[in-house]
Amino acid sequence: MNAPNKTIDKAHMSLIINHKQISKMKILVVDDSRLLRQRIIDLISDIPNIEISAEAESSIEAIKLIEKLNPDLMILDIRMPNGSGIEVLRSIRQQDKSIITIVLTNYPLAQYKEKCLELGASYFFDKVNEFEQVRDLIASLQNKFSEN
Amino acid sequence: MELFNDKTKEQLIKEIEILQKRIEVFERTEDELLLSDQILRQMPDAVLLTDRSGIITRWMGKASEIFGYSEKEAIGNTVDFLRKPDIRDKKSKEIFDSLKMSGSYNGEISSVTKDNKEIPIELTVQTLYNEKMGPLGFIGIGRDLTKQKKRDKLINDLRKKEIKTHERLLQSFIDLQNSQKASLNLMEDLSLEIEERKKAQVELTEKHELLCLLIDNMPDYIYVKDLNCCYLLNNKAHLQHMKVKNQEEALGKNDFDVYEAELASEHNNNDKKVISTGKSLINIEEFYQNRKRDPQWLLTTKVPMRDNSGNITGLVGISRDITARKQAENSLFQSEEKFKILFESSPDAYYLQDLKGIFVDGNKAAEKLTGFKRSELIGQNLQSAGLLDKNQIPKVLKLLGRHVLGKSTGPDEFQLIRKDGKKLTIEIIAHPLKIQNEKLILGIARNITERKITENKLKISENKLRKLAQHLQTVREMERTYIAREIHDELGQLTTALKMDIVWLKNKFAEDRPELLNKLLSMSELTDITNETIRRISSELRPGIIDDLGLIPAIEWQVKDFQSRTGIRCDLELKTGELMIDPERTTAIYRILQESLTNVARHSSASEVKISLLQRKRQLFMQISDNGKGLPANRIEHPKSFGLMGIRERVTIFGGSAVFAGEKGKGTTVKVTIPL
Repeated sequence: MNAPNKTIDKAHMSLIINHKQISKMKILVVDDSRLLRQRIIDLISDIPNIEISAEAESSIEAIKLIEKLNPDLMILDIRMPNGSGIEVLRSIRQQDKSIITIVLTNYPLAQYKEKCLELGASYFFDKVNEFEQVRDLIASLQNKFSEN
Repeated sequence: MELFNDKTKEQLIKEIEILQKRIEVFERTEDELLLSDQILRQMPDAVLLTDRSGIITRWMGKASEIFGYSEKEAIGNTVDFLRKPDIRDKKSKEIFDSLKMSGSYNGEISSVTKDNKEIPIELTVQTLYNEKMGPLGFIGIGRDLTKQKKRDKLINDLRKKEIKTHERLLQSFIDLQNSQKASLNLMEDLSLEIEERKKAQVELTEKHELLCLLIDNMPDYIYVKDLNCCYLLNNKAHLQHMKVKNQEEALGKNDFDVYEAELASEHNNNDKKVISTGKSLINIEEFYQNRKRDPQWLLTTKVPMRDNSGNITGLVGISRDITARKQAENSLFQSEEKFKILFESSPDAYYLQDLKGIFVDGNKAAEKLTGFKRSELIGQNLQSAGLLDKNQIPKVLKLLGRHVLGKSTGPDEFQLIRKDGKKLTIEIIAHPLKIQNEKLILGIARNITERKITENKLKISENKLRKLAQHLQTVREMERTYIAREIHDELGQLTTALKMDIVWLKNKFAEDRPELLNKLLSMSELTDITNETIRRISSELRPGIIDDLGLIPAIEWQVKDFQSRTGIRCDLELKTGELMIDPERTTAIYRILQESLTNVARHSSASEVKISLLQRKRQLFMQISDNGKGLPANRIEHPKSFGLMGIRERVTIFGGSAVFAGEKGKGTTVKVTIPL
């Protein structure tokens, strides 16, 4: 390519970037129950500028998808077959990834909360009694995200 | 006459007076000189005058008598000629030096007379001075000391004699004193001896009396017989034995008067033997029976009695009643006979060994058990007879050691090898005892082979049972885990989905529809209750926290949950640090705690529970104590208390222990130990 072409490409690119100024917050939903994943997604789908990047059914799948897609936020269940959400937390901590993690679990015991927060989770909610708060939380987080 | 004219009369008279005075002085002087001369001549000593060079100028006093020289012979010689020749020079110097120093000399000097006799002279020399002219010469005075010396010697001799006489007197005085002392001592000794003799006499009398008293009070019979074997003397005991009132009655009697003829002749023969041979009979057993009395056994010693010349004059006898002993011996003999019968006929194998373990005897049953004949075993021990193999010998020796100390042993197990080679398990009980004064060991052997087999079978089945119980436990846990998960995850999932849908409906359609809203709220409540129930049932079955987070968080949760459910105040103390523990042990401890707490809630009526978990070295200690009404000990071991047995079983698998302590009114404590 000639130098003049490069200059034109750069401009072209900045145009594209400018067009996509309002970036969407990528969300990964991890829960072994399809029923619940559906409902969680329904719950938050009306929040603007978010994108459900992927769904994961197990901790292994979650780790793979995190690696691949680098989501900004993750809704994470604890109790899953073949590995718990805690392993996911460990993995992202090891890799030093910065993902906002919201743990949403049917085991809302203090000991679990302590462990999750210790391992880097940002939020911890009772799936049955506090799931509405998750929606509000994601909405406010998204605002902050767009401002950046 | 002119002379007289020149001088006046006065002058002349004065001159005549002066002249007269001078004549007077001269006359006086002359008188004095004559006097002096006479004195000098009368002096008993020799007086010599010499000039400055020692030449004799005057020879006065008794000089001539002493030295034998006349005045004419002496004058003109030097004083030397009077002295002993070999000392002349020495003395001259001596005298000269002294005169030079002090002007005088005094000393003793050996001189020689004209007859060549040697005489001692005490010499005093003085220098003669004239005021105007200085030293004129010397005056020497010599005293003849011969007589003096003789006198002195005599006095000395006399003195010496006197001293000697004194000494002799003193010595004889001392000797006299000593001999006086000696004779005093002798007298003292004599009187002492007399005293002692008197004392001895008294003592002898006392001793004699004492002896008589002793003899009379001894229970043994003491008697003296003459050469015809007739009684001369008997002590009280003997008189009583012979049933006689006093000594007079006994005198002259002999055995034939007292005892049955047959016995009497035997005793008489003994007496005669002693008297004829002069040899004592010591500790012979005699059997007595006089006409009315019961039989009696006596232990007798008979000793010949001698006079001063050594001739036998009779005998002295002393006898002790040993009837009781003899009877004891008889009954012992009888019981030994009984023992023999029992020994032989017992169905159990009996054997007798000495303290070295060598067989002395065995009964029929022992023969049957071992397959050996009695005769084959006697003289052998357990090893040499081939009954035991050598690795059991240390055990045998240890037991033998205890037998030697008089201690019984058993039951102890051994592997017996029969004569035919067959092996049996036997049990031996052994007792040390005495038979006919010999120390022996009685052994009782039982064939427990059958019993052993049964015991083994029991152990095996017990083990199987235990393994089965463990297995069932494991399976049960797995089932519980599975069911808990299923309930929580499957049902929980569904109720959660339901709840979410209800909320969705509420948000979408019930904003302004109060009836619908109410219904939906009530549905929401129902799902909440359902979910709570699911959580509770599931966690009671098996809390997920135990698998997800480990023992400590699980215990923390359990205790908190217990407290909030029952209202019983819980105090949890954890001293464990990082706990590395496998799932099986985790489950065991969790379940033990769960069961114990359930017991507290159900039975104890306690208001407080203290739980402590401590890790030390490679062991875990857990203690649960409540302040309830307590479990008395018998309840703990009650056969229906499977709960407590279950707790124990859970830890036994890992080699741990569970202890229960309860006192009525003071609460119960469960203490569990598990090695990690």
